Amino acid sequence: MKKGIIIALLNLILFCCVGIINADSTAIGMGFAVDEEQYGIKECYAFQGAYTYVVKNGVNYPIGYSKIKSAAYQDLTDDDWALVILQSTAEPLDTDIPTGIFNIMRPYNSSTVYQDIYSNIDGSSKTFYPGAYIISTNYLMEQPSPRDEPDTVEYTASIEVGEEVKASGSVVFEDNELYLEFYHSSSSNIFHAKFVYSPNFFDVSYMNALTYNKGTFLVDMSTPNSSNCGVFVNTTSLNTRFMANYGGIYGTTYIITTLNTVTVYY
Amino acid sequence: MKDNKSRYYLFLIPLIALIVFVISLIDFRPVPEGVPNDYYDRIDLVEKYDVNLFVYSDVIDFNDDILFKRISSMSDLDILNFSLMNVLVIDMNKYVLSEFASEEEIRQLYEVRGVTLMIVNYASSNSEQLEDFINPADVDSDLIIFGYAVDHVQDIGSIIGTFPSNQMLMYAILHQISNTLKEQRG
Repeated sequence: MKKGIIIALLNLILFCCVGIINADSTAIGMGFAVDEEQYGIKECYAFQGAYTYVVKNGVNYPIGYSKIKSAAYQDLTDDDWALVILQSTAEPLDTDIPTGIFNIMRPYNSSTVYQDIYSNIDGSSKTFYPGAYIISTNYLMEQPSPRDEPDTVEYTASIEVGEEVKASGSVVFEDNELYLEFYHSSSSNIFHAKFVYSPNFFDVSYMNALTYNKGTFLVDMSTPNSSNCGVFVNTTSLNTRFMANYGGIYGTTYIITTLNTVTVYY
Repeated sequence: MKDNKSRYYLFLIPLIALIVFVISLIDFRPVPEGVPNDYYDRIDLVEKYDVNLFVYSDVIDFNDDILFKRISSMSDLDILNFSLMNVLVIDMNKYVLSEFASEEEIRQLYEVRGVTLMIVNYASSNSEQLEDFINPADVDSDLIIFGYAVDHVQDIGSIIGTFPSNQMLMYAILHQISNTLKEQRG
């Protein structure tokens, strides 16, 4: 983790030279914990869950559960800013499904193919692939309120991937598994962050496990757009694709995507 | 004599192995059709943490696979403060027909006494009760949950739409409880 941040800082110094840029390391893995002096006391989380089904012979067989959970906070120190935290859950569910001409019940192995999170904060999507290769690129967010000198010390940006909820503390990854690349363009005032999760070899354990992905957004309330006119409302959509398989590549496979939507406001 | 004994054992050992094999194939805890195979894992987890489960419904019975208390009025609720979770399942199909508790009493149960509420069959019953209590975003759901997150913050939401079967609805209740337990216990 430290090595990743050092690499990111070196990249920054080499390519951007915009002064002190520091992705808030305390935000990484902080779960839903927020600075109560800055964002107030947490009041409520909103969530929506969905079960994904395979329909066979008119009967629904569940193969996955997905959930999007979100909370929004106004920055009490600066009315122009708000913080939104999103957490998505993907949980493959193994189920017996009738198979073949005799409809014999067979155990299907379910796994997560990907989760795609859309937020109207910046109108873009982020896709999370579990397994051997997780990458989130072009994570594009605007710099906090325009300042004379670009400064992201107060900037909060984090992605968390794990088998357990990380409500607080740090996320622990093996060396070189998770690193952060980012740079800031002073001319466009755009902050780019790239979070790369790359475990060794072909670790696909996350595909079959309950996983949580988390994104944290800072929202510029002073910039008018569809998401923050008037009372701030954030709507998040989550597409989760599950795959259920029996019998390997020559067997039967179902791939189904489910949409969840949740709206948070204050 | 010795040959007979050897033959006896040669016959008996494979026979015992066969019997053990056949018994191992028998599923003594069959999972209901259309329900994930971790059904009993969920039940075991809920029982392990002594979740205090109350049910106000005529059809939610969890196939008698788990201990719960069926209640008919608020006075039947014996909430245990030392229990990790107190869960009340309210079936709106039944709530429509009788006077279980006022909206304010239900709100108090959740907000003051910390009981996790699971309101089931709200959409399919076309109920208009509890409308001041339930978020408009959740009214199309048959499983609405008023719970608390690991940091004791209110955690309110729902599962999209209706359920394909009563078995799946019962599984979903157990699934939500067990996932909350996993989050709280780490």
